[in-house]
Amino acid sequence: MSAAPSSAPAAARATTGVTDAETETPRVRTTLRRRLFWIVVVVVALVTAVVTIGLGTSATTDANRYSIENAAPAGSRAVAEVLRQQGVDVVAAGSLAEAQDAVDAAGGRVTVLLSDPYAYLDADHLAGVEAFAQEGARLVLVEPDAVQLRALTDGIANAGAPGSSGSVSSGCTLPAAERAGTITAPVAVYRDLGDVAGTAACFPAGDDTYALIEQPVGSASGSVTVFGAGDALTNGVITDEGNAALALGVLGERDTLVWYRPGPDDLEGGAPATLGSLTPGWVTPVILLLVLVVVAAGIWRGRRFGPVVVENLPVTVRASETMEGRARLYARQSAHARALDALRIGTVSRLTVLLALPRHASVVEVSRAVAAVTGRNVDEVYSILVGAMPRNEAELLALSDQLLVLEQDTTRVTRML
Amino acid sequence: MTLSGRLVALIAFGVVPVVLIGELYDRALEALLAWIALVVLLVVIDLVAAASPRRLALDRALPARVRLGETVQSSLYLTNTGRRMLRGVVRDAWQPSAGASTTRSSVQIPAGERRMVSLTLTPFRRGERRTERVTVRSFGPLGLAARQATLRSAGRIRVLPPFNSRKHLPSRLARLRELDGRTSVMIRGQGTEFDSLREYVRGDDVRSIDWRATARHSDVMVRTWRPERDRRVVIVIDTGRTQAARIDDEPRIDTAFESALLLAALATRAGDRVDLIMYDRRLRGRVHGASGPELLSRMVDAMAPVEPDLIEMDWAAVPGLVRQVTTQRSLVVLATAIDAPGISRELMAIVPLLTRNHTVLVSSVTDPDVLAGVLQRGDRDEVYRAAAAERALLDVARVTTVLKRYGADVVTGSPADLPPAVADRYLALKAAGRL
Repeated sequence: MSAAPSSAPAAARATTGVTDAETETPRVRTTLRRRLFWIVVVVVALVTAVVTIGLGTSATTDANRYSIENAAPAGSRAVAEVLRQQGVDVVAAGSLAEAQDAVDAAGGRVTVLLSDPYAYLDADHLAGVEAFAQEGARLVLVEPDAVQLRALTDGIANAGAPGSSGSVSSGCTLPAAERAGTITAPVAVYRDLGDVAGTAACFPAGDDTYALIEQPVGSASGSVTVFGAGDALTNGVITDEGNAALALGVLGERDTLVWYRPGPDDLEGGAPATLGSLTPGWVTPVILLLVLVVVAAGIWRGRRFGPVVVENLPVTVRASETMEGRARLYARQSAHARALDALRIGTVSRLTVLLALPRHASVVEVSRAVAAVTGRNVDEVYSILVGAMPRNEAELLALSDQLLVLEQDTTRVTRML
Repeated sequence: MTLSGRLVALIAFGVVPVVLIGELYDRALEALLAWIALVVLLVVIDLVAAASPRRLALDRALPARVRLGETVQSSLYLTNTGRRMLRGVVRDAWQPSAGASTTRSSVQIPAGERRMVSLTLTPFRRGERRTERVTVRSFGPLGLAARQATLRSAGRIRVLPPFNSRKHLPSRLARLRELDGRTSVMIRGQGTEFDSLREYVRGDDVRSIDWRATARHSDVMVRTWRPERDRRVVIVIDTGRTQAARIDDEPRIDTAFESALLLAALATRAGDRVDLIMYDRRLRGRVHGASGPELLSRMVDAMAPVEPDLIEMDWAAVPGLVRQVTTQRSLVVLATAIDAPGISRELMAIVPLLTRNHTVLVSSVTDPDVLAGVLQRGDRDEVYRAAAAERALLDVARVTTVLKRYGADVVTGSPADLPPAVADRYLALKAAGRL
């Protein structure tokens, strides 16, 4: 018996010769034309981002005091820029080697500014700095400490901070100081205890202390200037009083100014190795390559093989859900009377069938018949079937079990009959 | 366009030159850029050299029908009309429930030649299973990148109801033959028709001896009987929302289909004429005036795409539908769900109209879960569950009582038992001559 041809002849052969017209995937140029707007938007956004980032990085600053890259009030960019406009070649040096290179490049006729507040330089380095002056360079020490003074000058000593915070006037014949007239209060003052001929002490701050002391060094045109008025170099106060004139006069005398601020490179054994200097040069390219690999793998695995196939699925309704729902309602309401009613009606109707009683037999008749068959007490059977009212769930469970037992007993007995 | 795993490996292999050149010449970044340029160049070459997937002509060979649970072969013919060899992967996008063995297969089609991609379909859901598109991924000679295109090529296969209950058919046919008077066991009843006279053989019921004929002949003659033929059976299948419910992981409607198929197979062998109506608020399917093997094939065909709709069955229209089929007295089988009296009110309202002219048989699936739930009373929740189950059975019993009072016959059973039960009831009615 076959209900239907399970594998019908290949009558339903749909022939579909496919050409371009039935291809769903758009061609590349169609896609490009369709997405032109968004492509333009993305390109414009990228260009904007690149330009913005480029401008942003050029404005990044070095936040150190006296740094010629620092445009903040504590930096010294202003004086460096003005000197450059005046034709002075300002070279920043972060280590003695760089300073040496710059000095050599200029042929020795340079101004070397030394600012070493963290005392990076040891005796050897200081000797190297002194050599600049011996060879004819002008050495400007910005707020030097005692060690630097001892190494680089002859008899100039620290005198701490000035007694008053008022401005000081030049009070000497040094041209730069004379042009400046008065300057704002110096940071540190010095005392000249030596007797080097040609020493000029300017900007007295009382008690035989001075903010600027210049003394010649060596046979050549070298000199060393102790510069206590460091503030005069900073962007913040350079325009006050004669600060600018003093700074330009002291630093702008020679064609080249080496702005030497010692750093970690001057320490014994050089700077500590950083992660960057320990990493081989190929690590960054390899990371970039791995990023590319991940992107390519993403495209490889993620590219969809054609559109998603849709299928309408039938609803799934379990038929017993209404029963379960009703059971939960009974349980939540603790409707033991109602639940027991249902159980009793079921049992009574099955007993009626078992005992071959008429369908409309009353419960009394059923309980009599059951009692007669099982040999139980009629009242007891009646109480199980209809009489007893459960007051709590424990009684409901007990009665439910009794109903089951009663039904099983009756079934067993009627089978034997 | 898409990329291959080979390309990913190639890019990853770039680590070797980058590290080597970085170590030896400190030119790692340049090496990276050169490697990327090389890879891009290779990809471009590969894409340019790949055959165009758009130049494929497609053709399908598919059987039109398959019975649920059986396996068929689907063939897709690909003709390369381009000038280059096409190497690639083809995806025939069958719906998931078409049960395709694999939807992706790799092909190599030289220019101008044709290749067949075949896959086996084992659908696991009744109805119409389709495929709309074929996606082709054509790799270049290096296998680094591919061109991809989706081509339209529709194919469909109709998945018929499984008719698992046909295993019950032989035993029922045997019973039918017993009724038919072909064996020595004679049955006598009101509804049997006189067939012929033949000589008495030992074992025949002496009550069936025809004394008049015996007097005319020299031998003892007996009458033979056969059940009536050419009666009508009208099967009405409810396709409304209650039929969507699953019992034993089978929707009620599938059980109704199984019952209808078994009954139709049996009835058409017994010489009766069977009509099928599937209805909820509109006519979902109808088979009229077919007999023999054609009847069943038309029935399964009509049933295949029918899924229950989530709307209420409009019983009021059913008497009219039956009248359209026949005005002759017939057996009307209503395959539906007997639920609470509220839900079955419409059914109960129209049954008297039908019983006036016809014999009515209402078949409904009972839930074995409910029957089992009645006896499980271990704890509080189970007792409440048993109470709810009793309540559900009581509801069904009330509807059944009403239906029986109106003169209808009611058959209920679990999904596995219902089809043979309906067939048995049909045989019983036939034996009793109530058709």
